[in-house]
Amino acid sequence: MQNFKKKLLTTSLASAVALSGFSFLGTDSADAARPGFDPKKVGGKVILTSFSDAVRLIPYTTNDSASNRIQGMIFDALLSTNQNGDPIPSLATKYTFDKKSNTYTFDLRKGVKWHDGKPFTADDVVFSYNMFMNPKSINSYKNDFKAIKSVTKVNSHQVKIALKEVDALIVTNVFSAAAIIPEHQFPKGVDDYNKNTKIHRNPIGTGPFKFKEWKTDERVVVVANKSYWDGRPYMDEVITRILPDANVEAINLLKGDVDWVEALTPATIGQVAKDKDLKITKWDYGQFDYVGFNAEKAPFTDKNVRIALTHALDRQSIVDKIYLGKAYIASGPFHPKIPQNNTSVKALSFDPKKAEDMLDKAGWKLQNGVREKNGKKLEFDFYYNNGSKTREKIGLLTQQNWAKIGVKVNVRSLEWSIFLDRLDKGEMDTYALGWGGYDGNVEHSGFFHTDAIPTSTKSGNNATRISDPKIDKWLDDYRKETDRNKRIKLYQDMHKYMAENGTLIWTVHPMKNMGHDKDLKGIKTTLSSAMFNLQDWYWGTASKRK
Amino acid sequence: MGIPNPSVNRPVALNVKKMTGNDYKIEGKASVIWRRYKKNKLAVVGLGVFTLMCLLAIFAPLLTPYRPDVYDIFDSYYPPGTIPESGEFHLMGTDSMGGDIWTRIVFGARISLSVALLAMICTVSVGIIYGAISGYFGGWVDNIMMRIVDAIQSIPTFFLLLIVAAIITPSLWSTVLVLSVFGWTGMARIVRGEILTLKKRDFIEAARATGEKKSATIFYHVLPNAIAPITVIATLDIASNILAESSLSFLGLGIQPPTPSWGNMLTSAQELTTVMDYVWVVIFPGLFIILTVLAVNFIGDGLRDALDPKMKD
Amino acid sequence: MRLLTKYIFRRTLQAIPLLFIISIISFLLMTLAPGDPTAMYQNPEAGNEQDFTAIKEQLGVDQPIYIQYYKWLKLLVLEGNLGYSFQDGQPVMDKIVSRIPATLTLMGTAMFIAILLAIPIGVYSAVKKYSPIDYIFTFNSFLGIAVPSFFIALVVILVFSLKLEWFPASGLRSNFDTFDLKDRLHHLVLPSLTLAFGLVASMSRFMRSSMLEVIKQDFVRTARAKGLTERVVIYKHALRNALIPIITILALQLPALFGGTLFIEQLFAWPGMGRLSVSAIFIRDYQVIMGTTMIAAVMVVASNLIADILYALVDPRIQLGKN
Repeated sequence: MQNFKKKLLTTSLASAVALSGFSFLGTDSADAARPGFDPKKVGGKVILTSFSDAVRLIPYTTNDSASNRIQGMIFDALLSTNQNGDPIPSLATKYTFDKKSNTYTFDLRKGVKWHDGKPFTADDVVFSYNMFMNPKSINSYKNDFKAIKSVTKVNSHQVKIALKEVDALIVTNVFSAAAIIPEHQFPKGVDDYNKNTKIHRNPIGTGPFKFKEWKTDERVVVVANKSYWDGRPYMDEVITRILPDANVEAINLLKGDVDWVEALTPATIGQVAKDKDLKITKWDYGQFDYVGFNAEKAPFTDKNVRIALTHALDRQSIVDKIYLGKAYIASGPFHPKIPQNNTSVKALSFDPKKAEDMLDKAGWKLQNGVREKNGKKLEFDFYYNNGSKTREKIGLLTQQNWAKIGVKVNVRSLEWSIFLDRLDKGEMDTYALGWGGYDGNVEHSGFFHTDAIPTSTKSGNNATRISDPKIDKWLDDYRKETDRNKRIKLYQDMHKYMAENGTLIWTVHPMKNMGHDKDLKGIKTTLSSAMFNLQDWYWGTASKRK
Repeated sequence: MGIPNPSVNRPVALNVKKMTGNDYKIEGKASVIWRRYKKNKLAVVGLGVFTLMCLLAIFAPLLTPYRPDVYDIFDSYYPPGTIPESGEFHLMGTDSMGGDIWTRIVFGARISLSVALLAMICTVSVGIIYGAISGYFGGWVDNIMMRIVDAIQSIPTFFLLLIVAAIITPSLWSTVLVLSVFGWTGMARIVRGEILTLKKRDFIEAARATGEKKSATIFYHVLPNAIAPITVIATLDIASNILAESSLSFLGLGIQPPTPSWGNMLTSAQELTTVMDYVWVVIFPGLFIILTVLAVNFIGDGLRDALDPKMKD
Repeated sequence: MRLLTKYIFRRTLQAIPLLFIISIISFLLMTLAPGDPTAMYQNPEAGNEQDFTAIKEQLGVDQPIYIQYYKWLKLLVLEGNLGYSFQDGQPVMDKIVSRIPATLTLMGTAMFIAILLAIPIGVYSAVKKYSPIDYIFTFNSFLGIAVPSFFIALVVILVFSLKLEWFPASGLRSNFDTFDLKDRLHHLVLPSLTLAFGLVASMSRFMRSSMLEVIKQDFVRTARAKGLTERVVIYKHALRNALIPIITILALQLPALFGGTLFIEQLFAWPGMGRLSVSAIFIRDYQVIMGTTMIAAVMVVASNLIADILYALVDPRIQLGKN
């Protein structure tokens, strides 16, 4: 299943593609079944849960996960990605890249029909790309298309996309992510795209599932597209119920009213685990959590203080007690399951004694229980966004741990909007935060590059205000380096540096825990999606396939 | 509250034997009220329980070997009465962070009782005065005053709270202030409703006819007769303030963890695991809230009976 | 009767400037508070150089606050249109209207149950003051008041849905194909009872205390002296006079009929207004926030007007709008 949200999802093959004009050979027939298709598995319905209702069902008009998930069931992009994140054919059966003219040529699949029966053609592709690039269209993804110069139709089943500049990441960032929307559904063009709620609530795609029904704040139903070009999905119907509370999700799962929950919270795992009809599958999700600060402000300008604070933080307790064992201790921003993770880097040990020595050496002397340097106390606030029990607990644990080495911490919760406001302004001493959704070809310049530091006129995600020429260089080189191994090596070096330098106080990479009916089979996940292959899910018991 | 008897019933007898010096009248009044109050056994018990709660709060550090802000996550979720290897005793068990629940309850009493009482006093006084003036004067005064209440009740408080939260650092006083500012309107409406009927009663008309000052009529004749709903709302107010304090923490406005309050101890009841596996974490603070509120309720009942101008000795 | 019509007319006229003032204050508070309506379009993974000018222009939030307000007001006054949601472009009116049936059903049922229970409980407690049953009611009331509603809701779901399997755990219905009354009622039981529990608690306390006041009054004694049966005395003479605080409490609750309540809607996955308004607040969907705020304001104003009329009906000594 396509996850149209993924921005950091880029593929290992991208560079190879760019160099050689690598192409696929795909099937061309519209009613072919995918390899391994087993007609016996067909039938039944599965009920999923979503925390919030979808917003709109036309791709790129939203960036919330609930909408993206449903859009992924209904729409296809030119290409798709396999479980490793490599590009595979989708609406395009084949593409070639001409290095000289910096142009991609896509051969489109023939015989594909929109869910309303109209044929899919090159016009739809041109329309879609132009819509996403239209300065008037309301979408959050325009930036991804900035390398594209033009999208032109060659014939009814061939399209050329010309680029302004070399962009090795475009294959997975855009071609595998940008869903193709039907031109004939948008007679008024951008106005319909922005505002026509009728279209937004009755999407027509080419994907494995057809839209059936959307009851606001209750459920969204899609049904199998029986003439899907890659063979029909096993399930006849996929229902997404909107259950806006983690406890309620778990209770419905326990009751058997829903079949699958994407991520159980630590507060509900225990109950689900006790139920013998249910199964908890933990899956790796590309995420790193950290204790952030403003790197421009003392005492965090001092590497020794940062490292000492990391040594003093009992991260094994965070894993064991807060995530109930379902997390990895982090040594940097790379998930242990991606190649950019430098395996020779070891996470700093929990060593309060060493932390105290380091602080002593750095000039922070203990005075009546709190350390001081030049008359300034080592005391600061720790913020978390309200409602996050996990981060609240991390805050309280941090407070206890750091108090033992003479660092006084006041824990405070903030409403999300105030939290974000202060984050952007760099006003919070320390805070708990995390970034998620990346996989094998993570691209981290948005978080660590000097250019990404937010200012009053420019937004950016480098709220910790890390400005290190060494890191900038690694980030820049990584974007330009076309050799895959060399690229990965760059980030591995950066990982080592970030760990040794205590760039941030790395905490953990949490895993996610999906809870589901034991009989629900065939589920595969990727680092960025728990429903990567929804069309292959099936019921193990024949009676459920009715 | 020294209240001359406004009602048509016979005057409250002053205990002449106890008259002493200048302030005999007040002395006499108070003893009469106390004598009536004592008759209500539950009211006495309520007063006892409430006093006990206050004593818990005052002497909190003497009642527990632990500190509320020091704990170890490895001690989390001990059931009540556990004595782990370390030999520490946890009468009511520990919470998810390893905090001793008894310790957090006695220290939490400090925050919760003071916030609830102070905010109640503020909302009740403002509400009474506002409602009484509005109801008694009626006409355009009433109309304007009530339309102001309409406006306050219609405005989305969330944004106002956010603006406040962005500006101030949370403390006990800011919590009391916020609870008071947003809590008085309901009180004002109820008092006004009462006054509207009361002021048409014979004894009020009579007092008015004698040419008594309006303020005197309100305070000596009208309000004492509205004492019943006032005690109810004051009691309910204490309960809701204890809980509301924790929702303010949610906005970053109330008492911040790890400082314990009964309200924020209860927020863990939002987790399924707490309700199903570690229920003592919420049962004990819940019990203390209910006990306190019941005590306040019986005190209120007793006071109302004792102060009631129509009540016979 | 003519007096009543005149009174309603006068109060309705007065409501117009009041609503106008409320809308200005709300708009100001909303726009001055921290938060950014374009944040919902920001893509946290999209790096740094994203340009939101186009989106701001489309939503109209690039304009000064007074222009934004003027546009909102103009649309409302001239076309009766509450604007279009920033989030999904739907007319705000549609979004609100689509949630009203579910909200009204839940809130209405809960309030109805609450009145039905609170009045007899309050009367009984007052008449049998300090009896064991009075204490049981008292204790229950304070359970309803002092225990947070999310805890009660969770326990109710665990017991009556998960363990006993008497009622469904969440949602408005299971049958989406036709209107199935039995199915709807089945789903309505737990949320409405949970909601009513808290309401009964406070309403019965007020009922009890005001009943206690009334039965001591002369006219009740006179009625008793005349040899009327206790039942007639209580229900015919005393009750009517004891209703004033209940009317006030109801008037305070009435706006929730259309406003819904967040906790119950969330825990029972009920598609109501509470969820709409709270999610609109969190993403700063100014148009939806103004819409729900104005509906709430109209309800506040209307319910207080109703309360004032009811005061006069239950107690003829109170004259409408007169000093």
